[in-house]
Amino acid sequence: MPESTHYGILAEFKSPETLVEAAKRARARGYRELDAFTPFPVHELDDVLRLRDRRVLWFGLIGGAVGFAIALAMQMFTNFDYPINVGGRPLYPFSAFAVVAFELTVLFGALFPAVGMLAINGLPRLNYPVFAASRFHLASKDRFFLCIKAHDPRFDPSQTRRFMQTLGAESVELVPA
Amino acid sequence: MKRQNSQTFDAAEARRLLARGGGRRFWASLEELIDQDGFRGWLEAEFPSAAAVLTEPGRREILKLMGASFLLAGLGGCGETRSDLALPYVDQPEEIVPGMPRFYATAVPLDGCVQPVLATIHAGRPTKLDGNPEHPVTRGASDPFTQAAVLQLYDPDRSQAPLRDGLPATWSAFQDELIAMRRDWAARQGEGLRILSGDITSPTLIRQLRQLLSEFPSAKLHLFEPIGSALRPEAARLAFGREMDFHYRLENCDALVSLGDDALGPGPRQVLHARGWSQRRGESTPGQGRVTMHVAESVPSLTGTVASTRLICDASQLAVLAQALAAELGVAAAPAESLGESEHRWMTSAATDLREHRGRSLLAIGAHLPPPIQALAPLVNDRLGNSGATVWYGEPVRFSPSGASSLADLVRDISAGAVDTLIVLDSNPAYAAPGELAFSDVLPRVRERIHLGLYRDETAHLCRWHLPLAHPLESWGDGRAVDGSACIIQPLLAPLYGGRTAPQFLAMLLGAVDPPAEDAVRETWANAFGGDFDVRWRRSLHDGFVADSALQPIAVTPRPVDIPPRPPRGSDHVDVVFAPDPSVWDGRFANVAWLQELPKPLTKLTWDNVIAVSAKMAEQMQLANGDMIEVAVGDRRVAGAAWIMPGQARNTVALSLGYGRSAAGKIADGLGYSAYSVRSNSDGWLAVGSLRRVGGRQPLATTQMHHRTDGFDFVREVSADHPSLPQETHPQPNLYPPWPYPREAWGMAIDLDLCIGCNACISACTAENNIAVVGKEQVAMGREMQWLRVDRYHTGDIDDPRFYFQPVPCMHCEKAPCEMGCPVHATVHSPDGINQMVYNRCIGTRTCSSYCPYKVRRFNWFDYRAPADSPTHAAHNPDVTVRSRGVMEKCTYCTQRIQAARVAADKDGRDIREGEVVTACQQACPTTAIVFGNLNDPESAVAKRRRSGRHFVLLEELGTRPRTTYLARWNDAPKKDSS
Amino acid sequence: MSLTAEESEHILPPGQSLGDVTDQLARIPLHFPTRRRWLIALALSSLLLLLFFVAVTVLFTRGVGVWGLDIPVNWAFAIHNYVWWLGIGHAGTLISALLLLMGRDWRNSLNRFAETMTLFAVVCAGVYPILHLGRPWFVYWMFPYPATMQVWPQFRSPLEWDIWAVLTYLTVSVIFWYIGLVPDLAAARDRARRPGWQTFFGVLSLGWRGSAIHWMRWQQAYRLIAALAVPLVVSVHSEVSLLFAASQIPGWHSTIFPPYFVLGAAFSGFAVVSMIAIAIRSLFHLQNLVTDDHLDILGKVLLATGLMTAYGYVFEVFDAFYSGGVHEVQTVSDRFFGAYAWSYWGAVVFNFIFLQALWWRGVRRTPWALFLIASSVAIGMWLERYMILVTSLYRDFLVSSWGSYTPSFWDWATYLGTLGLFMVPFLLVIRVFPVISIFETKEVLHDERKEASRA
Repeated sequence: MPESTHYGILAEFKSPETLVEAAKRARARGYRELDAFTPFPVHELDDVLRLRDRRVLWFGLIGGAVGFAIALAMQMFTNFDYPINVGGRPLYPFSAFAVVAFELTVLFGALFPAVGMLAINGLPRLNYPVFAASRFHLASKDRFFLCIKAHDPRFDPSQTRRFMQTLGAESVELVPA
Repeated sequence: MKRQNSQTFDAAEARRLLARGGGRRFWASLEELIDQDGFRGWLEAEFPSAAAVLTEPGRREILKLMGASFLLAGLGGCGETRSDLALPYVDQPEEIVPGMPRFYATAVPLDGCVQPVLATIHAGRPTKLDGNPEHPVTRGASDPFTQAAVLQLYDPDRSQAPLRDGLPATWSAFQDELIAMRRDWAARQGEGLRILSGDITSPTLIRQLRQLLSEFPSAKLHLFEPIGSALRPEAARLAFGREMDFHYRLENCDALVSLGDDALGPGPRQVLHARGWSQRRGESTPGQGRVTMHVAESVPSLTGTVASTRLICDASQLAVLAQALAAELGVAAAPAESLGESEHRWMTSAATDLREHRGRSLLAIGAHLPPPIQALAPLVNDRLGNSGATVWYGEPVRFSPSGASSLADLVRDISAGAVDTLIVLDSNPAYAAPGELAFSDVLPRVRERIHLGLYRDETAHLCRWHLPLAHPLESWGDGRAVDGSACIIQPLLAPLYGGRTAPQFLAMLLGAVDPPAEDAVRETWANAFGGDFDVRWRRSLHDGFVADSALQPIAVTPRPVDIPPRPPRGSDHVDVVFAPDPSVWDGRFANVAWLQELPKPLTKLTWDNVIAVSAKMAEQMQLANGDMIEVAVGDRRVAGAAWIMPGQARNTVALSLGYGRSAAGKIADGLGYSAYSVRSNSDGWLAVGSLRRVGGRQPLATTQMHHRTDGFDFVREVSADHPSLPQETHPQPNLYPPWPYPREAWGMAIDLDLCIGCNACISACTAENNIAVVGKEQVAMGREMQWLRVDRYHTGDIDDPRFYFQPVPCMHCEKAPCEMGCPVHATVHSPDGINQMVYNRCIGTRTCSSYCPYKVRRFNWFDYRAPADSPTHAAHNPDVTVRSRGVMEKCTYCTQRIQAARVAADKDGRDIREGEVVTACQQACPTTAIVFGNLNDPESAVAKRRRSGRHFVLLEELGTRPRTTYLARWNDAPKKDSS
Repeated sequence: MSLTAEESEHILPPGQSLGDVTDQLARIPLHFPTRRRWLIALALSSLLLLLFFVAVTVLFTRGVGVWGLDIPVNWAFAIHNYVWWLGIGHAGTLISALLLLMGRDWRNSLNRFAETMTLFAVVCAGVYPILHLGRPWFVYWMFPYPATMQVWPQFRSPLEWDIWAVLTYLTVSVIFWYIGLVPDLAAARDRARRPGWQTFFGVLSLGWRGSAIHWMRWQQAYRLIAALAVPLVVSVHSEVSLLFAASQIPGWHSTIFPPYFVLGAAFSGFAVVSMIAIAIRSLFHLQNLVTDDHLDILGKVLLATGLMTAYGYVFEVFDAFYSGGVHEVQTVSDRFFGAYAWSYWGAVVFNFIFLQALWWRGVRRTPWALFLIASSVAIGMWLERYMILVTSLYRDFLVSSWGSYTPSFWDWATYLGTLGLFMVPFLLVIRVFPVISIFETKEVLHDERKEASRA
């Protein structure tokens, strides 16, 4: 069967609760390649769908460190490269360097996770198979979608579809790849 | 010079002249061409827009414009031309080394006398004048007038060409007419020929005038100097039966009693007196005898501000006081009037001091007091054996021939129709004549009126002929300094505006045609020097003065004088006193912007003169500064802005001369009021008048709005009881390690006890550092640019305050707050500890000024530079950057001078010697109040001052570690008066 | 309702469906409701903006002397308005970042336009340091680049710190604002019918699809940036206060300044937020989302920050007398009785007197009353900044250098101009973007519904 022609099957639910419930049962059925689309973050899903990814936080940490390093290096180098008596202050007054160091720490600490988050989310990507689904536009309004992807080993267009309907979905739709 | 007779002007000829370098020569030829019809056609072809301007009176304008634009080209030629006859002050290089200044000794006139100066020449342009260090009068010091003379040289408002009936003419045209005139004079023995001149000390002019008067025996010379030596000549005649000059030797003076004699005030003698006084004052240390000064005056003067005891009494009362003092010392009858209690106390203590310091004391009576009163001084000084020690008498320096008569005589003769031709020599009676004479009304009655002057001034406007006088710095001439020594005036550059010198002009009157400028002067001294002319002439040019030409004291004994009774003054009247303006003198410097913007010592006012009234008077009349009031003397009135002068006598009103000009130039016209208009001919110094308020206010631009010290200790004092200040024993704690200053550590120490607030330092700084002039409005906004300011404070009662002067340059803090604030390294510290300002790096955040506790920084809010075509650029010191818009600037300790010394020292592989670097302010200061040097050298003058017990640091508590520090003032006011 | 917001679980009136909210908010850009009033506002703001450009042209052609500045008062309007604008900006960040971390749901109705306000307030502030330069065309010298003069910026200078702080603040604010905006842009994209809007939102929403894993990472990033933004705000205005505190000028040289400035900033900022909230909710009829409870809370926050700022005033005076420095005391007395006493007492009255009305709940919940008080605070803080600058500079240490300051016409023109510089882009943004965070509002509605059902 040509799985490659399908992206997966999309089931629409009225509330986050029903979606979470459905997701649980889907996992119980052994489905692993699950995804959900919601108008706002639904935290329960993270556990249900076993979502684990701390990279964004690491980006933040690294960004901060990089910013701090750059700031300190920049200020020390400029004073090393152009050493001159300024108001009788020492060449390397770290108390004075602290401010810029802090600012750059924050700057990079914010830039890295922001850009990184988009990168690992694969965004921007303007077209995506689910957008083809007829009712998917409701995913940004008040509907909650569960999707079993086609490359799930246990995926079978007809069976899976039937199973989804048993989850009390408003609608079930096969999404072409 | 050949004149073109062809009606059509040959443009090719003009271009050829243009092409042939030396723009000045072209300018010269342009003025020859101007009176030809051809010129107009050519002009229309070449400058159509200009031709439109070339109508009455615009014709003069176009000459100015063109003059200005041709000027720089003209200056190009100045370096070489003519100066081959002059000698460099130091070894002359093979040819001019670019960037290397040359120094010439010459002199600039002030009030008839001359001030010996040493001029700095860059590429043929005089950029700075300082006192001639070799000359006994100046010894290198100077005053604001001397400093500013160089700007007047480049003043574009100076007269640019001869004018006949107000239309551009030429010298040759004048000389053509002169031939006819001379024929006429000769025919009538000079009957009806009158020459009016200011005071003259020039041997050459005197010789020429004598010659002229002998050629035309019936001609007459009239002398008129608005200020000059005031009423001294009459006083001398009373005291000695002949004219004599009084000379003070303040350096020998332990006790000085002055009755309205502002010996330290502005004028030709200021430098001489100030140095003498400071020598005596500076050498004595606490405990030893000091020069005590008792000053009685009606209006605060510089002398009064440094006096031990200062008695304030109305101007008319000074005479009484003088007579009483003389009586106390047994040389005169007691006055009819009685003294007030405080007056009596002052008089007795003054008399005591005079007696106690017999032989080393001096009674000085102001030259503007009634002559019989002045004549008392020689008697007293003679009685006390001071003659020859603290005062001596000599032949008059000023030319006063028996035949000479006054301006009043001239007016009388004119009215009588006895004057046919009047020649005005560098004098401006139409403006400066006493209002009583109404000179400008009678002048037109003279048929032939010829005026020679620097500017087309009020008098020039009334004359048929106006002839441009060459500026002293572009002239050959001579004159005598106040000590009588003859100074040779040698030109530093060829005349910019085609002016001729006074000796040249007189030579023309004597029949010469286009006489070379130097001939008359050489002739004078050829006679004087006799045989070894060349040697002595060269020597004199080199030195700037004729050796051993100073006057010698003449032993004379004063005759007793009988003092006429004084008419009682009406109680509703006030004493009106006239005084020269400390910035523009009698008005001759009115168009010099540097002087206009120079804050007057006691009022800190700029760009204006005021009517100074006492605080009590102001209370009585509900006056505030700037309110318009009117002074009436007889039926003559003048209105001006009121100014409340602390420490002025209750019923005395002070008018300052020199303002209210109508034809001085773009700078000065319309500023202030003219005090001459209410001046009387009989006594031009003290009048009885009345005061009334007229409507309106006048905005005044002062650089210091607040003057009470308000309990702060910016200025400190020591006294006999507390001869020294608590000195900082342990160094202030500091978070950071100190920066090392291995070679020099420049520092400045200013002795407040020697500062007389004369402003020489400010004007010298202005000239040295290309300080911009910003104008009255900007000054009023608080945007003046002077790097050095002299703060003036008062303490005590407003009716009798103590005055303090405090020069405040940049402090050059070692822990400079300004540097820390600058985000772009535009102000940083040099290895020798100077707080530097890097103009081309400055972006104008003004953080440095915000952070500066002393507010010594100045900001270019606009582009304050003169227009690109302004000749005043030539006055700029090429070693100092001219600052543009949007950058901060401030005192640099004259870093260009330090660098020059550094280069010289490095060439010889040695350290910079003590005294090798002299800042402009220090150089100008006549009292050595300012000392600059290397703090690392314990033997340097500045290091010594730092060890003095009077040493203190301004705002020391801020821990900025200033390099500029102060010595406390010595308060020698007796206890009883200080209460 | 009888409960105030803190006590009640419900900040938003119950019974609103997620769908309605989505449509209500998403249609504001798509089918703009109050065209006329918006156009009038835009026209007026554009006039101010025009004035700004004229003033700046004059300033750049003639020089900074067109302002009323002098020595000693060589910092006045420019720096003073810079501090004022920056302070206003801070409230936006505090609301959206600080309250997010503290889990205060009610901020979800306010954060979007509060952040937008921040952006343009910071822009207005940001132009001043450039305008006030003597040679603005060299502003880039403040950045470290290998210059031919071989000289670098001077990192001991508070002004140098300032540049970095403000630029960091601007960048982080933009990121924070945009990251938070993306999901709503997606919502707008899905509501849009006209192709123009579809492409516009389609591109800007970066293809956001609300996938669970995306949401998780998004939240990590969003909260992380929020966590950084809070100390950033505090640092920025503390650092601005160092512009003054780092000098020795009496009235500036004080350790109280950093907290004093930060609190003042929050104070003025919350005032402006309240004004905008009231304006927007009446302009777009959003009473159901920006409820009286919101105004009530804003009123309380305003009162609280106001009292803290007042403490700063008290302490400043105490500081001066405690130090006993003759110049410090002089400055305080100048502030009380000097030539510019009006600015001090004006600040006291406008900041703290009218403010006291906020003790009454009724006042807090009356839009126009709150609006008036908020505006008085905005004025009061403006006077305070003026007072801090001018009354310190015009009389510093040496009596001889005491001066005065009068703002010139161009001072005023530039300042009023920046109002336009703020309003025009702000109006454009609320025209094309959802003024209130759609998904966060829905989150709140959903949570409240859950709690309601649990209760």
